[in-house]
Amino acid sequence: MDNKFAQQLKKGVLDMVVLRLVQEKSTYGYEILQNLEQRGEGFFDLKEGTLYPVLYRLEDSGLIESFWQNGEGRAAPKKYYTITEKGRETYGEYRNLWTHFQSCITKLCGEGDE
Amino acid sequence: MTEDQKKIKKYVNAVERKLKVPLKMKVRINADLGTDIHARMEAGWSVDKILEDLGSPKEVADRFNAELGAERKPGGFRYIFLVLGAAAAVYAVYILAMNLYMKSMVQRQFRESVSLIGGADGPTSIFVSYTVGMIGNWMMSGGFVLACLDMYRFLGSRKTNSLLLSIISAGLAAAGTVSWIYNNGEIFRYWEFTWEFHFPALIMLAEIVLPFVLLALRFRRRSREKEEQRGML
Repeated sequence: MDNKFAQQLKKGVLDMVVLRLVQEKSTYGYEILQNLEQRGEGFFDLKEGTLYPVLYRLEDSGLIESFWQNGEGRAAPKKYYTITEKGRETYGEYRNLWTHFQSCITKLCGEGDE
Repeated sequence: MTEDQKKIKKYVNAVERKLKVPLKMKVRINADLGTDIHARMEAGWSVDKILEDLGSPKEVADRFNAELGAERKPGGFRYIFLVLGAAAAVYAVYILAMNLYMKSMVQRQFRESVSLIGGADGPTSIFVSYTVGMIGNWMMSGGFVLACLDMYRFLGSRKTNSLLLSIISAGLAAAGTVSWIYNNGEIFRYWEFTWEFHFPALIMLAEIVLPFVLLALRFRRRSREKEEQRGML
């Protein structure tokens, strides 16, 4: 599903989806990519070059913050991302907006449309 | 350093070289790519498989550059316009100096005499009529110099798109053309007689055309930027 419309939809919700995943628990880039792939039902098959700019934008807006965490044993330290209070509030707003948007589109396009 | 660590370092450095972003951003990307690679190694991937899955350093860097809105490095072609503009400015100053020299020479030659045009100061009248005819050339040259400078800026950066310099240069070119035709229009009668009319005419054509071409390019860039902004809403 790689047409332009699908791309636009993905781009529109990516901030909200990534905020949600970071809110669930502190996580790192590769883990976010795996979650998106497994839970996204094939819709979010992203590459690093697409995900990390989203993370940087959220971090620069103060919605998430990063920190380094040492791995267990001899594992290399990893850069984790965690949500901030501002990020939680913003996610809440995005979620309300999405629910409203979803309801509007369903009414406009008709629930019975195939 | 193990072979795997060397491969990872070589790969990440190659990606970093192709990134067209500020240094701080490169450091961030470097850190995240490193984390990504080590996380996959912990999940049991081999380094070769990881690097194959990530893509070539160019592919990875291109994706980052596209998402981060990195600017293409300006090419060297724009320096041609800087050189042309400088040459045109130097030539215009040279012509001005020659005109002033001619004026003093004419005044010296005709100091005591005959009023050639009918006023009290014949030599000055000759010079004035000559100079008025040249105003069109100077305006065209001025417009051309400004257009060359603006073209250098236009090719150098997509971020700034001020129309001011283009409008001024196009205005000078237009005004200069009108003035030149008004004062020298008769020259077109002798067009076919000598190549000496053709070559300077080609140069003048370039002086007139460049400012308008640049103005059109700037308007096109502006309308594309507005379309992109509307597409993002």
